[in-house]
Amino acid sequence: MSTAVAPSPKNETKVKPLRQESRVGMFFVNAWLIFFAVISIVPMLWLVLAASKTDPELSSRNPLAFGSLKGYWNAWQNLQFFDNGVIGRWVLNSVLFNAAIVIIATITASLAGFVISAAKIRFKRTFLISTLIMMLIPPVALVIPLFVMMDKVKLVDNPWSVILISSLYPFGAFLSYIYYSTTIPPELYESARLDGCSDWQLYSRIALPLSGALLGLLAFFAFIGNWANYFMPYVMLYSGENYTLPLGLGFLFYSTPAINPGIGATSVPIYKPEIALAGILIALPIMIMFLVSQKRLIRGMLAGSIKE
Amino acid sequence: MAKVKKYKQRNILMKLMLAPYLFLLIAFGLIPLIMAVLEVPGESLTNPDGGWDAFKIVVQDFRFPQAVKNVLGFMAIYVPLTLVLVIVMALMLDVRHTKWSKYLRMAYIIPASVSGAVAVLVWWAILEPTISPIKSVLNAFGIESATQIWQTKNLVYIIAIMTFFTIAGNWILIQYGSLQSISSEIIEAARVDGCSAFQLAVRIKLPLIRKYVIYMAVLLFAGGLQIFVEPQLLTTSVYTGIANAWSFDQLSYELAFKSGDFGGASALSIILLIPSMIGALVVIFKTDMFDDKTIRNKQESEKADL
Amino acid sequence: MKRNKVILAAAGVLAIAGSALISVPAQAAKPSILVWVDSPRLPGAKEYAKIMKGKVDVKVELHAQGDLLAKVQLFNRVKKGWPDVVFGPPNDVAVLRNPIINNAREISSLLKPDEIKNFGKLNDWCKGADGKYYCVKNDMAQSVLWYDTKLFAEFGYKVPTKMSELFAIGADLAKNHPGYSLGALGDAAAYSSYFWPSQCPLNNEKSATRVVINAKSEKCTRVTAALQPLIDAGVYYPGSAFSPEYIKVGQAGKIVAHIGPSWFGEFVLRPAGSFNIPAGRLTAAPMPVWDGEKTNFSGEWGGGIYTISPHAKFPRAALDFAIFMVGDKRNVVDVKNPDGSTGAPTFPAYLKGNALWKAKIDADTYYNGSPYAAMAAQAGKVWTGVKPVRYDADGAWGAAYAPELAKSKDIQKALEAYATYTANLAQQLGYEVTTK
Repeated sequence: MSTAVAPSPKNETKVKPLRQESRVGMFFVNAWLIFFAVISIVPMLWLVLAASKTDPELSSRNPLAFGSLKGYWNAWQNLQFFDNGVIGRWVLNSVLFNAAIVIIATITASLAGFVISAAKIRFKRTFLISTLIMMLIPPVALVIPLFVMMDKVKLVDNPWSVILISSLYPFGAFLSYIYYSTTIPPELYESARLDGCSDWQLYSRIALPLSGALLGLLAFFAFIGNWANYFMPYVMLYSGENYTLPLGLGFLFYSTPAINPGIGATSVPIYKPEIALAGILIALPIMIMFLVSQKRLIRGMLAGSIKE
Repeated sequence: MAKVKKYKQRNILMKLMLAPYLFLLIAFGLIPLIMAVLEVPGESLTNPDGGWDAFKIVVQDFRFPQAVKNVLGFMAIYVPLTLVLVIVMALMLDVRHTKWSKYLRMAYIIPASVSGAVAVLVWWAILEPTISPIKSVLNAFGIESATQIWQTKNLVYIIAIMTFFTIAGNWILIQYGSLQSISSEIIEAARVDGCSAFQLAVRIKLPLIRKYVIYMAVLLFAGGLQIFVEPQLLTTSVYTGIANAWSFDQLSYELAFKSGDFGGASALSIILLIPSMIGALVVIFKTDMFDDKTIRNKQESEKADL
Repeated sequence: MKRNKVILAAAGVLAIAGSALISVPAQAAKPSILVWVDSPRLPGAKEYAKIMKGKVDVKVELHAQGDLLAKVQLFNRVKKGWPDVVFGPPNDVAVLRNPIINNAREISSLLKPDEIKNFGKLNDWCKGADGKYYCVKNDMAQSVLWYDTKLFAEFGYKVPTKMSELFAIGADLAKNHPGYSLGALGDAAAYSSYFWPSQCPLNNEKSATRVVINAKSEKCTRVTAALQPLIDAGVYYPGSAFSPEYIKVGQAGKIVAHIGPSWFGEFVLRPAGSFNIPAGRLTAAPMPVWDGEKTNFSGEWGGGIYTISPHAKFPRAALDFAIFMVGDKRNVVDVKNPDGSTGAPTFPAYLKGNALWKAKIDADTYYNGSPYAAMAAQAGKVWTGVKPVRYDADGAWGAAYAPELAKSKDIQKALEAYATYTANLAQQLGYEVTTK
């Protein structure tokens, strides 16, 4: 256990005698964890290998064989289908829209969760239930109303429509409510209030320092939920210069026989390896966001504070 | 008096902190929801005279009974499978923390990072016996030909597996995170008392993350009922149309965008919302979801054992 | 709570104030059109925008095929945003003419006599019951008999002119050359290649409120009766022609013949990633005729259309674009495609464009004799009993027919599954479904 993440010094001495406990059990635990990880990477592994091959090689060669490095280059070249750099624009749009969404969603949802768990306000249940309803309502039902609303405020085909709608993050608000209500006992707020802390201080001195893991999770899920979002941009945006990467590529890919062979004719060099390469490029930021956001997920951050 | 005033000022600050989320919730959640309800009696080809019998018309749609069968069959597999496996995985990950556990968790979210048109391609390739990277596994199950896979009766299993893999990693991450919020004193105390890793997981950790587990169960249930993305991916692949209107949400989508019947689509969404809501409310009120005291007391008593 | 409301109201005002700053573009003096196309049509559309610069403002947007219906319904709600001219799948014309959608205008009043002459019979799909045109067909996807000249010579077969002769070849393959195939039937190919040319009544719209669907008609059962033994014998594959399993059959050089649309040669039989049939072996023959019939009809699989929006301010300018795409040398022959090829990928449904395109395919040495003659012969012979319908008749092949065929391998049963499914869809969209 010496490699445990951030144990307090006290922990180490106590953990040692327990180490021998059931090696067989630990073996099975590890074996299962690794087995599951291997299954989980199969799709990505296939994508990485698929992008290295040519389209004919995909059906003729072993699915797990490597094509050539040149395969990646060819696929990349073919993805540059738009000479005037429109794909670059889509990437930029995706990055900007998502940055805005992640920031707004994470801040609003974490603050809401904190207030609901800490403040003595009425309609707490009403609030939580309406948040829950928002998570349960099928998105198709809201498409027309949202579109009509966005039209009224002249935001249709404007990135802000997608940003604002996607920033409503009931999943995050609820998660953050659970997080605060399980990690911070109300007594702590009470005693702080008696000590003369303002509400802002309750947040900045008590809740915020304990929010590392939560904010990491919230930001990550806000990102993963919106980065590849197709539906909302599809509904709201219809000018090429406003497309996000998944939307633009979606339009490009869905019109090719690689996805829908019934379309038959094509003069666009988009085949399976090109789509595979795009898939890797879309997934990459998710991996990076994961590594960034997971830095904060450490046990023991709160061990000290609750005792005080 | 001074005290009351101060308290009120406090609450203003709290409300200010809540306001941004509340604004989003009302503007992009509740108002559109009410508008969606008002959409129901609108006139459409399937409901030419308009009116609230849109509900009846939708239930009588020829695809509706099939969707009921599909979705219930799917949920019977997907919900328990995901719930159990995710909890087990998160508890296992929490048994020991090595520098590898981060990469294991990252591996679990990889299937969720593949989406849209790319996911169409990937799942098609995986399920196609001749080119599948898991060819030997499929062969071991006696599957040699594509026509054995692409049959309607198999879709329940295929979609359950697809959905499981896209969602499991995310929930493992959340439940692992929830386990990190258990204070280490409690864990240490239990260990000193001679708890094995298994006992620790089942008797100490699991009750402490109960709220998260309930939350997950509610969302899995609702998500299962509203399954959309995975069957929609299958139906846009080589076997175009195979899962057309397979689920409720897809039927709602078809009604809205293929038949131009937004009233029917809204009606179906509202019908769907009801079991989700009842399920969610029962689970929440029957448990201590809104009651912080129980957990706190438990934590207190654990601490007292120290 | 009062305070909450104030806060909310303030936030709302801010949001509205912020949005009001976004400027509205001034109205252009010269004609401007908004064009939606899918990716294969994009180079031609951009070329057009370049050519028209200074005369017409052409804004081109990339969209997925079949994307329009969803978007139009949103636009209808807010009464703006409609594109002026759109490329889409062939059924779109019926879907868009639906009065509650109302996004395909008649174009007969805009057409010049010369243009109507150039449509010939190739634009009949777009003709409504009132005799007016409602769309411009981009390309024909008429079925022809693709066959492997090398295998035909080797096995001593003659090019069949009757369906019974084709099935006799099938029987011979089953007996003497097992493993060789006459095609795949597990998707809409079965429709365009067999049921439609046989005049099997499916999707036969008789009026705006009545459609004939009858899988038990003799014109359908003669198809299933002839195909069933050959499916059982393995001569026909009960899955999709695009399934990797069947692609292996193609790559092994075992496809003797395959009835398929005019684009089949270039995009299914030839590409290295598909059947990869070597150069010098492939060509096309006219459709064999069903025994007892006079005409060797074709079916169609694909063949996109351009529709003009009734909301277009400059409908003639929008129509000009469609005509350019199907009839102008600069698109049909010359446009540079991103994969390095030039010209329109498929058989143009406009006589002038078609003649230009002929030279292109005639010059292609891949084929053992140009398939153009067969394509041209069949182009005017698409059986017109099948009409565009308001429901998703194409999607139903995958939804109902293909899974049933995969399961039971019983093609009559699969066809009836299709008929039941489409009959339900049709009724839902206000058709009366009859068997005659």
